[in-house]
Amino acid sequence: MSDLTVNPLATSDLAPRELLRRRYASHFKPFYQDNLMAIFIGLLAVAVFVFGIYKLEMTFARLWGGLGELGKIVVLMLPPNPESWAMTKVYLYAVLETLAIALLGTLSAALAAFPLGFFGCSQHHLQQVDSIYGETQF
Amino acid sequence: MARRSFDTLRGVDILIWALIWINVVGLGPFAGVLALFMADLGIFSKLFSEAIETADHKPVEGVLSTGGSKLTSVRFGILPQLMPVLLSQVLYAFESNTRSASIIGIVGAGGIGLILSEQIRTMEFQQMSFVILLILITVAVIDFLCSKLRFAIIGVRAR
Repeated sequence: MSDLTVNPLATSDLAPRELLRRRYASHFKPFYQDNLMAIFIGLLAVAVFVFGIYKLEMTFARLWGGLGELGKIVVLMLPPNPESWAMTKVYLYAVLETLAIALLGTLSAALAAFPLGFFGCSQHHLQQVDSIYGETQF
Repeated sequence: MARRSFDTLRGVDILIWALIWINVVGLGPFAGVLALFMADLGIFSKLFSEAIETADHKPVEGVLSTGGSKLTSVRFGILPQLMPVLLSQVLYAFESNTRSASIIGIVGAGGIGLILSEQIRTMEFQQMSFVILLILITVAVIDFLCSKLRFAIIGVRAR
């Protein structure tokens, strides 16, 4: 029996699967034994979700009733029509103004944020270098 | 301390910044620019500082060892590593801000939002859909140009 060169699976009377089950019992445990906490948290999350739906009065009846309204609006939206060339020019100007706001806001924030980014670092690299080589000249 | 200040800037939404700045500088695009600036300053400062933390500091040592100053070590040691990351963050923010800028008009901070909200209020849905179409086209064009720009700067030809 103690012949280590012989495959124990081949010499055993038990079915291979049964033998594996006995040898590696920890791997054949039912999945819930180790994961009771995870299952509990999962159930709690589902309960909170359901409670939220109830609390915010999200019912399918309301959604279903409202979908008709949405359909009506979509039908009213078609076809897209700017009415007149004068209005089109107003809209185009407004789009350009929107773009200008986005560009100026983003660019100014990015330029200002780069130096600020160094203050936000928990330990930035110039500090590391300082600690290795002593104080460096700015 | 710096991080908490960024959190404060970020914790206030663009729309609320717009309402605040309208009281300071009056109605119009200037308030919108300031609102986007404040909100983005918080976001960018956080993203940039995290990017700077991940940067390799060996190039910085290299620059310093050849006699560079701290400023040149940032310029030649850190900036080249971070440029693609920072750029993609900024370009995404620009695209996202185009959408935000079309919202803040609703409270009167300039842009197309005022027209859009007026049209929804007066039920002029055909004109509204035209304006929405314009915004969609604008965002698509920006997205296209931004990807071109990004590939040009990181040195890969756009396919």
